[in-house]
Amino acid sequence: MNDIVLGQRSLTDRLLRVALYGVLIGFMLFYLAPLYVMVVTSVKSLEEILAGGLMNLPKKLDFYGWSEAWNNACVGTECRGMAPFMWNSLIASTAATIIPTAIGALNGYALSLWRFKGSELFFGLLLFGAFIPFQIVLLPMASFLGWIGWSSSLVGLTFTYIVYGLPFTTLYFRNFFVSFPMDLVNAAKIDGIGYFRFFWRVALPSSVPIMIVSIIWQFTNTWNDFLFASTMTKLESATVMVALNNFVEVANGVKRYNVDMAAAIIAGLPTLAVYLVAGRYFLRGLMAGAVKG
Amino acid sequence: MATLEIVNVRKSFGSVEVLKGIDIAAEDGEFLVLVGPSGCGKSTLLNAIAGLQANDSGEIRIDGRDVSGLHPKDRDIAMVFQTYALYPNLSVWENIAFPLEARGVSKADRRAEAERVAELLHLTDYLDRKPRQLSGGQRQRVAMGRALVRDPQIFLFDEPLSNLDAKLRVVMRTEIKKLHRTLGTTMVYVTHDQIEAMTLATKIVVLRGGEVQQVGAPDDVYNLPANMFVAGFMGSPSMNFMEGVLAADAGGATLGITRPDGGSVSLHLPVPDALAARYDGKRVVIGVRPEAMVDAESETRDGTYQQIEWPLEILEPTGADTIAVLQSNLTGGEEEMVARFSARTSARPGTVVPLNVDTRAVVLFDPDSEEAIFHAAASGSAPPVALAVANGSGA
Repeated sequence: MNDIVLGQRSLTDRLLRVALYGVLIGFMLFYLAPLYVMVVTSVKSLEEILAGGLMNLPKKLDFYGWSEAWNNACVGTECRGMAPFMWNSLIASTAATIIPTAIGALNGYALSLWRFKGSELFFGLLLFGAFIPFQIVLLPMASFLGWIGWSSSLVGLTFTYIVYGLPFTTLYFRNFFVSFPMDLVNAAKIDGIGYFRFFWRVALPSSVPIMIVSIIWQFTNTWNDFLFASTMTKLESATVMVALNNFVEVANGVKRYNVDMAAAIIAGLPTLAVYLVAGRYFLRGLMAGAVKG
Repeated sequence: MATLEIVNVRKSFGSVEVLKGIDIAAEDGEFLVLVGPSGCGKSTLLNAIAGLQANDSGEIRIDGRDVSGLHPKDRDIAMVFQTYALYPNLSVWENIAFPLEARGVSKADRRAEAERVAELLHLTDYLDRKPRQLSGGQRQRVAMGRALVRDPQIFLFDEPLSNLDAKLRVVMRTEIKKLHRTLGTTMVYVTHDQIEAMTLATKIVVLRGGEVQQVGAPDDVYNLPANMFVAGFMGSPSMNFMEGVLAADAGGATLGITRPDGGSVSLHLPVPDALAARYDGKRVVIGVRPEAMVDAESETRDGTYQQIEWPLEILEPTGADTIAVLQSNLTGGEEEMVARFSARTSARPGTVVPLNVDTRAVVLFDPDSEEAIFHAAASGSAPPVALAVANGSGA
C-alpha cells in the first residue's frame, strides 16, 4: 500500500519537474533570443541579412560588421569608429567606480563602527540621495557644472557619476559593517589602534564581498548610463552609449544591421566581462551586506 | 602593576540607573572578580574601567590617578573579550602583535614578541594560522596573548570563558589562575559563574541591580554572606533557607522551626545576648549550606552538630555522595532545600529523616531586610558588611 502511494507521488513529482524545467527552458530561450539574433546578424553579410531569415545561422562568417563598427562607424560627419568612445567610457566608468567605492567604504565604516552624534541623521539624508530620480537633478546639475566650468566635458560627467554613486556605495558598506562585531572595534580602541589603521588593516580587507558589489553596481550603472551622458557631453567627450545611439540613428541609406549589432555587442562587452569575473562575489556580497544589514 | 580604586561610580542609560554608586578598591596584584546575575551592571562597570563607556560621575583611579576622562588607549589596560574579538583577516601572530604595530615597533621585533608570548600560551605551532582555523580554547589563548603582549598595568577579562564548553572552561580557568601567579599583575574579571569567582578571585565583588552587595575574600563571601542574595548566589547547590522564630535563652537563643508537614524542630544557636533580646519572639531566616546539613551516617564533629528531623523528598546519588532534596518551609516559596548525605545513606525518601546541622556554619537573616544578622562561623566578630546590631561578644 505504502509503495503504491509513494510510486504515485513520485510520478506526479516527475511530471511536475518536467513541466518546471520545460517552463524554465522556455523562458531562457525567450530571453536569449535577442542576443542570438544580435550575434548571428553581426557576422552575416548585408546581402544575407536583407535576404531575410532573421533566425537562420549565417551561411558564411563575415566580420565586416565588426571591423566597420570598431574602425569606421560614424557619429555625425566623423567616422573614427567606436574606439575613442570606448576609451571615454572606460575613463569615466573606472573613475566613477574606484572613487565612490573608496569614499563609500570610508563613509560606511564611519557611519556604522565609529558613530558620532547625528550620524544616523547624516546617513538618513545621504540615503535620501539614493531615492531622488535622476531626471529631477539633471538641470540643476548641468547648470552647476556650467557654473564651475565643467559643462560638456568628461570630467563633469565623471563628477556627476561620483556624486550620485556615493549614496549607494555608502549604503552598501554601512549595511555591511553594521553586522561587524563591535568588540573588534572596542579591542582596537583599548589597544591604541587608530581609526585609519583599523580601517586599512582589518575593516577594508574584510569587506571584499561588498566591495565587489559596489564595483559591479557603479561600473554597470555608469557604463550603461544614457541620460547624463547624452545631456552632459559633446561629440569628443561622448561615451560609448551615446555614440552607439548616434551610429544607429544617423546612418544614411541602407541600414547596416550587421554593423549596428556588432557595435551594440562591443558596447556591452565590458559590463559582461565585469559580471563574469566578479559575479560569483556579487551574489555573496548581496547576501552579506544588503540583506543582512 | 597597579592599584585600582572605584569611587562612587554612577552610570545611567536613559532613565535606567545601571550603576548606583559603586565603591571598590583593589590592591596591586589583586585578582578582583565582579560577579552577579545578568543585568547586575558588572559588564557596564568593566566597560567604565576600560573607558569604552564613560561613567556619569565618580572616579576610577589606576595607581591613584583618575582615568575617567582618558581615552581607553591611555589607561594602560588590556582587555580580553567574551567573543575573543580576534581580527579575522590577520594571522595569529599578527593578532597578538597588533597592539605593538600601533606603537611603531618594527616587524622583526613584533614577531619576536609574538613568539615569546605564544610560547607562554602554547601557541607556537599556530602562529601563522588564521583565527578561524583554531579551536575555541586556542582562540581564547590568542586573545590572552594579545593582552599579554601589551604588558599593561591592569588586565580586564569580560566573561572570557563563557563561550567554551564545560571541560575546556575548567582547563582555561586553571590557566588564567597560573597566569596571574606568574605575572602578579592586577586583574579584573567579570563573570556570572560563581564557581569561577570562587576559584579565581583574591577578592570577590558581588553585584546586584547596580549595587555592591558584598566585597571580600572568597572564603568570607562564602562563609559570611552579607545578605540572603549573596548567600543564595554564591555556592552550588545554593544555601538552604528555613524560617523560624527566635526565643532568647541562656547562652544564646533557640530557633523554633515549623516543618512544611506541620511538625516542629528547634536549634540552639550561640547568638549574642543583644541580638537575642532584639529578635526575641520574632521571625528570622536561617541559612545552612548543603554540606553543613548531613545525614545520621555522615561523620560529624562533636558538639557543633545538632540533630533535627525533616521530611525527605528525593535522593540523587552522585557516586561520591548523595544529594538529598527536602522541602523548605519558606512562606510562599516552592523552594527546595538540598542536603549532602553519605553515599551509603539508609535514609528513605517519603519519610521523616534525621538531619545533622552544623550550627557553627549557619547564618541568620532578618526576613524583612534580608540582611545577615548573625554568622556562626565568625563567632565573636560582626558580619563584614552588615548591620551594626550584630555587634557584641559571641557566645
